This record gives sequence, structure tokens and C-alpha cells, in this order.
Amino acid sequence: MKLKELFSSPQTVRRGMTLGKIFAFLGFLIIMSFIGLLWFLRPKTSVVEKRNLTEFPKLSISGLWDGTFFSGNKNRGGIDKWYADTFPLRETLISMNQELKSHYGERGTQMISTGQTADHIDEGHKTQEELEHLAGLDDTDPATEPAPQTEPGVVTEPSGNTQPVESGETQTPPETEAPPETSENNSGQGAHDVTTPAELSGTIYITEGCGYGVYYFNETYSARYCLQVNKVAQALKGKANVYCLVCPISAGIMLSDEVREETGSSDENQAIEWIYSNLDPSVKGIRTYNALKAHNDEYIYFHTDHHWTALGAYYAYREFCAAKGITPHDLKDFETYTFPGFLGTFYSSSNKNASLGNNPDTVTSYIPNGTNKMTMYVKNKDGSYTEYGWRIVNDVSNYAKSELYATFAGGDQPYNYAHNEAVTDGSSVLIVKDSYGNAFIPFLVDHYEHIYWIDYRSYKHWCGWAGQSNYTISGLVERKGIQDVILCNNINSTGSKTLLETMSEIFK
Amino acid sequence: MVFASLVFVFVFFVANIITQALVPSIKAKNIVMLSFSLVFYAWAGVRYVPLLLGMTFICWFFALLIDRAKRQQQNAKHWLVACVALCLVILGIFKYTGFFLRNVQLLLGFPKVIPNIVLPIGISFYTFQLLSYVVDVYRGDAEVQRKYWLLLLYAGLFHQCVAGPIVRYRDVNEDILHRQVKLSEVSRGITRFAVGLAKKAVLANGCAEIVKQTFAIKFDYELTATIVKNTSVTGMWLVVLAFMLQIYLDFSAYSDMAIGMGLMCGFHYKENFNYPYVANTVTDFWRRWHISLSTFFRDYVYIPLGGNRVSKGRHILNLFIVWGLTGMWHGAHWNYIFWGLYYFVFLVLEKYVVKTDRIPRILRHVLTLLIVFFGWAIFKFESMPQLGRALLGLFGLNGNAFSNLTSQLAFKNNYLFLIVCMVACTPLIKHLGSMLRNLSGKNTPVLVAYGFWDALAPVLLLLVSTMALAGDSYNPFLYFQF
Repeated sequence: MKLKELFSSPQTVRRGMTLGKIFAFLGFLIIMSFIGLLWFLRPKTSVVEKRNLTEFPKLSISGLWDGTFFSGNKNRGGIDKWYADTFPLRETLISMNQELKSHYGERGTQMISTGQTADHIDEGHKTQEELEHLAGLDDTDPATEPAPQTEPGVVTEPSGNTQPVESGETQTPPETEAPPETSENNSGQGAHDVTTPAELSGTIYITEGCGYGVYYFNETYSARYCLQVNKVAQALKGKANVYCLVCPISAGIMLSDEVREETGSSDENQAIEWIYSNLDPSVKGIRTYNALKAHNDEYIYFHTDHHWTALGAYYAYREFCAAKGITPHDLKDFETYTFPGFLGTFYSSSNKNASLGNNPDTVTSYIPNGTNKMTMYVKNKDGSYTEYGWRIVNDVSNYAKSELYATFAGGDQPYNYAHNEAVTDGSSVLIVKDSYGNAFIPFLVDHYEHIYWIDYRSYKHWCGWAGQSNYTISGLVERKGIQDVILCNNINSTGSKTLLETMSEIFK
Repeated sequence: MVFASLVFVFVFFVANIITQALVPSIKAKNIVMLSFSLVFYAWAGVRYVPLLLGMTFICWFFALLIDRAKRQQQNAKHWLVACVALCLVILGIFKYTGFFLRNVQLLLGFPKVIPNIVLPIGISFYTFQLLSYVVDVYRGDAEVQRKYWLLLLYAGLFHQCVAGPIVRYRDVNEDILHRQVKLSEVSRGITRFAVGLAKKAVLANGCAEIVKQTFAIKFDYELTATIVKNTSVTGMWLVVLAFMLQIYLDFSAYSDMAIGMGLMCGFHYKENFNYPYVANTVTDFWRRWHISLSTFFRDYVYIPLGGNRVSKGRHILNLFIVWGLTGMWHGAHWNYIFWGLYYFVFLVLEKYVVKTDRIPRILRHVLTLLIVFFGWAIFKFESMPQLGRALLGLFGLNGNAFSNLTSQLAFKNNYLFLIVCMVACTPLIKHLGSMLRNLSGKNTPVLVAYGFWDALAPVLLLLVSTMALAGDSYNPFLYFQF
């Protein structure tokens, strides 16, 4: 009866509707602001972005006066950014927003650009003076790469949803630590940027559910890279063999030349040849481009991540064996692990691109035959390190889906060692690497008795903790009597100012 | 604080409406409003608050002097001139010192060091509001306000203090003293606020992303003349189109939110935009764009100069002054002055040369949009090298390609979104809404359907805006500099 009355006159209906509207809107508003008050639900870190979220700003008179306490500035977030960055439903809201954005247009092909442009690659060997001139070392810094406003933040806490795998070794291994390789492919973004992934993958070209890392040759930084490798070569002359492995990234290998050129990027083969032609004659450049290109119908690069797969690293390993004059092992000789569901750095850098999300990778890792045991040092929150017994190829099936590349070589720890008792000739190798080296290392294990690997981005810091005053590569080679040194990094690292600065600390 | 941020919507705004609802008297409500406004204003830095307080004090004080002089039948003009001069000098110091000294340095080689004066937010808006108050008191169009804090509430009210509209004292005085909250207005205000928030958070910010994508710049990378030079012709057109959409959607969104929040607590602000992109002539465009600014210049500059009731030459001079000032108001860079004078040229042409009514309507509309389009190209680039490259680049005169992968992808990835933005610039949805409402007067089922839609839409818009704000740290406030 009452309902009937309510609908009897348009005025009463209209009034009811108006009240309903006001309650609906204010209700939603107040519920959301209540959720915003639930401080204990606020996340502190973002696993997918690999960074610490903005912390609540410290109260200070100057912060109030100039407004940075409230509004922040380019380097530091204020209350504004803290509130948005750690909003309890943020991850869900971002995913919903991403879903909405996937309908903005035809998004099958996308390019997520860093705005870099390619320099011309000319041929011919350069003298030391020419290289120094190109490297801008006789001049001020070139402005080709914008300086980062701040260093990207690093997640040092273990991710909550991953469990360590029982290894039965001396010490309980830590849970998966996010690899501290955040400055790779540096870019000028703030640590507290909501949309900013900590690990940047350079420019990414995404098409049909696959991401491709795009490379832009930068003459200045490439010249600096050559000079730094040559310094290592000089320091090790007559003491150890030096190999240089600049790993191609996926666009140059997987895309046709026409498509690759449309992206305005550089020919990676030409760039690698440019670098190798300017290295000290004692350095053996390992050429992997053609071998990888010949296998580009195989699964040699991840679709959602900037790394190569173990299969890609295997083809590079065969080229290394050819350069060293040893016989590579057959893939059939290895037992494997397989981890499906990997969503790597392209996925996070593209702000969770939906087509990548629907096409997750499978990580396959090949277990070395000689030994799968290693020792590594993992950084603690207070800056000290803890030694762990670990596995060279580890079962990461319980790790977060963004962390599966950590199956290889312990991830990105500063100093690692494996003793292969199956070889007793005293042979030894040192791999100085970024994360591209991780997938490559397990294949080398069977060929040496002593295998050392260091991450050039964090080794110096570790030396400081370990009380080792000589943190150079030559220092380590001399202490351990190492015979072979392999400098292994991806081609984008040779064009990154911050990474080159890190290398220059220990490339002596 | 910016309206389009989670902390504003879910903390500041919620707290504001709750306290407004809880306190009983109008005086208490005003105290609450003033406190919130000062916190809002201090968010950009407490250091800016004394300036707001000081400017308001100057205008409050001089208005009292003017009022007293008038009541004593004395000449009050010198007080008015002194007050206006003082305000404009303060505005000039904060806004134009750097610009002036940079140009002197270019011409004469000194001074060596140019002081970096930070522009206090909202100064252009509240200075103009206060000036209008003093002039209106002088003209007898407005009552003098004896209570300083109530004038401060007018100047600093957070709804419009930092991004407009430029509200006249006489339009809002009644609401300050006697406002009442009506359910029907709250309902309209809710829709208006939600529409504004979504226009800013989803559409305008999305357009800004397209600009960045087309220029292939990421995060905080600075735009350079080289980047502009290398952008393809289609890319440049896409950039200016996206910017044209962005600036309207962004700026009008702030007015929408101001008007909406006003309605929710009993304030009535005049419309600031009336779908400028449906204009048929340049004159028509300026009747629809940033109306509160144009009427300010009309009432306080153009008409006092004699308006159009003067000789042709003097009229053109009047227009030149007004449009030069309009350009300058937008920012202390040459491109804004060029932009103002660019419109001066077209307005004079429409007035004295071209008979616009002889041009077919559709062609007139297209021509107007093209003129506005190139206007935004001038407006967008503050740096002269970038501006030069941009204007050349639109016609392929940089040696730039006609099209490239980046610009093709920027378009392909976003073409549906761009269509939505264009629709949002027209009154189409508003017309559909009123059609439904008219229908619903006669038919109860339609009324119920309309009611559900009317109630649901703001909630959905708020949700979508929250998603966008959470997923989007890129939230530039285009109008802070004015």
C-alpha cells in the first residue's frame, strides 16, 4: 500500500530518488574514506613494482613552511603521495584502472618509451684518445641521458607470499629477496612514483602479447664502456684471460629488421661489433648475435620480462665454449625445473599490460651436473650480510610470480662461490655480471672447479662489509688465483650512465 | 592540495561536508569553512598564507576607507587607485619579476642573476577577486564588508581560491551570510562534482598521457626542442589535439567541482564554461571560455577604457590592451602574450573585416576550431625554441617524417578514448539527460529509470576517478601557474 502511495505522485518519487542519490554518493564516499583510515591495511611495499611505497613524511618546520610535508616535492612524497601510494585498495584499483584503459583503443601493439634516441654507429677502430674524446671524459657530461631525480627504491623485505624451499643445507635460506637490480636501465623517475616500477626495462615494444626490449646505441656511453673493459684488460694482462660478453636484448633478435627499424632503435649486432672493435686486443669478445638470431623461432627471450631464457643463455654459452675451445654440453645432459606463470619486468613496467598478463612465461632452468651447491651473501636491512648455503639452480615454485627468474644463480647477490668437486684440475672462472649473467652461470659450472660470480652493482658494498679494501676485479682475481674472467652484461647496461659509473668503481 | 587527489576527496572533502552538516549556526559554518580553506591553502606551503592574509587585509582596509570617504561625500578615487596599484604591484612582483628581468638581461646583459621567485598558488585568482570587491564597493555595486574574516572567507574559499572561477563579491556575499542547503541543490551538486572529478582524473589526465606518449617521454623527463623537432607531423597534430582536449577538460573540471561543492553547501557560483568547442566564431568562443575572466576584463578594463563606444582606432587599441593583458594573466612567458594577441587579431578581423554570418555555419565552426587549435599550439610551449619547432613541425617543416610508429601507436592505442573526450566537450550528454528528465515528468517507469541512472552515475564516476587517481601518479595541475 505504502509503496503504491510512494509511486502515486511523481513528486514523491522524485524526492525519494533524490534522497537515494545523496545517500548512495555520500555512503560510497564515507566508506572509501573509512577504508583509507585503516592504517594497518596500508601496504609498505609493492612486490610487482619492486619498490618501497612512499613513507609518511617526517614533520618539520621547514616542511610545513615550504609545503613539502603536505605536497612533497620531486624527490620526496608528502602526505598527498603517501596517502595515495599506500591506499589499502591500491593494487586492486590499479588493476581495475588498467582493465578500463585496455578499452581506450586498439592496444594489441604498444610502445612504452624512455624517450631515448639512437646515435649513428660508424665503423672502424678508435684510438684511445678518440675513445676518451667520444666518452666525453675530456669534457663535461653529455646531456643525452637525463639524470635521475632520485635512485629508485629497493624492496629489501622478503615478499610475503613466498616460502623458502627446504634445501637441507647448513643454514635456513632467506625467503625470496627481491633482486636489488633496480638501477638497471636507469631512468629519471622518483622512488615514490605511484606508477613507477623500480626495475625499468628500457623502451619496450609490445605486440601480440609479447614484450621486446628495445636498444638505442649511445656513442658516448659505449665509448665509456670500452674504456672501462680495457682498464680491466690492462690490469689482468698476463694474469687471466678476459672475455667480454655483451648480451643482445630481444628486439634485435626476435623482431624483423623492418619492425625493429620502425621503432627507431639501433642494430644490436652493429653496436656489439662497434664495442668489440674498440676493446683491447687481449679481450676476447664473445659474439652471440648470429647464433641467437638463427634460433629466434625458439623460446630464447621471455615475453613478459627483459631477460633471456635459459635456452637463450645456452646458445650464448655454446659461443663462449667455441671461443675458449672447449666442448659444450648438450641440453639433454641436464635435468630441469619448470616454473609456469612468470610475469616479469615488462609486465610491471607496462603498468600490468593486459595482453602480457594473459600470456605469462614459463621459466625453465637447467641444473648443473657437477654441483648445484653454492655460497652467497644476502644483504640485511641494516646493511650487513649473511652467508647462506644455496642452490645454483633453485626450486622457486613457491615464489611470487614476478620473482621466478630468481631460480638462477641465487639472483643478484654481490658475491657468490661454487666448488665443483667433479673437476679437480684447479681451474677457476670469475663472472662479473648483471642479471643477464644469472641464466648463463649454471652452464659454466660443469667446466670449472672454482666458480666465482659477482654482481658489479653491489660488489663494492659487500667488500666494504667484508673488510676487503681492494674491491677491484684484479684484486679478486689475484687473491683467488682466477684464470678466466667473463664480463657479462646486457647491451642496455653499456648505455646507462649510472650503471657505467657503478662499473667504473670495480673495473680496474 | 589539488581537488583531483585521493587525500582531497576522501579526507579533506569528507571531513568538510561532515563538519558543515554538524555545526548549527551560519557563523559556525563560516568559521569551519574558513579554517578548512586556510588548511587547504597552506597545503602548498604555510609560507603562502601570509600573502593571502596580507592582500585581503589591504583590500579590506582600503574598502573601508573608500566607504567612509563616500559616506562623507568625499572623493574616494585616490583610495581606489592606491589600493589597485598596491595589489597589482604585489601581483607583478610575484608573477612577473623573473619574466621582466629575463628580458632585460637578454636586451642589456644585466642583471647577472635573476631571483627565482616562486609564484604563490592562486594569487592571480584571489587578487582579481579582491580587486573586483574594492572596485564594486567604490562603484556602489557592493556593500562594504566590515568583518575582515568574512572578506578572507570570500577571497580564500577553497572551492575557487586556486583555480577559479573568479567569483564576484556581490554574487557570493548573500550566500556567505545567509546560505541554505537544499536537497535538490545537493543532488545537482553531487552530479556536478562527480562529473568534474572524472573529467579531470580520467579524461584530462588521460589526454596528458597521450601527449607524453606521442612525444615518447616518460616520467619526469623534460621535453626538449629536439624531441619536438623529431616528432612526426601526425604526431604534432595529435599532441595539439590531445592538449586542446586536456586543457578544456582540466580547467572546466575544476570549475565543475567548485560549482558542485558550492551547491552541496549552499554557495552559488556562476558558470565559467559553456561548451567553448561548439562555438561558431572566435567571438562566440570567448563568450564560452573562462567566462569569469572575460567578464572581469570586460567590466574592469574594457568598459572603463570606453569599450566599443569610441572611435574605431581607439576601439582596436582597447581590444589590444585587453587581449594583451588576458595573455599576460595566463603566465609570465611570451607565448601567453602571443596567444592573447593572436586572439586580438581574430577578434578585430571578425569585428571589422570578415562578415562571419556569410560563411556557412559548418565551415564557420570548423574554422573556429582550427583557430582555437593553433591557439593552443602557441599556449602549450613556453620555451621559444620548442614553440618554433612545434609550429614548423605541424607542417612538416622540421624535416620531420609525416608519420611514425610512435604517433601511429599513440593514436591507435587511444582512439576510442579520444572520441569519448570529444563527446565530453559537447553538450550531447547534458541534452540526453534533460530529454530523459522531461520524459520522466509524464511517465513514472521512465522517472524510476532516470532516477536510478541519476543516482548511480555519480557513484560510478567517483569509482572510476578513484581508480584513475590510484593508478596515476601523473596528476599535473595545469592552472597552478596562473
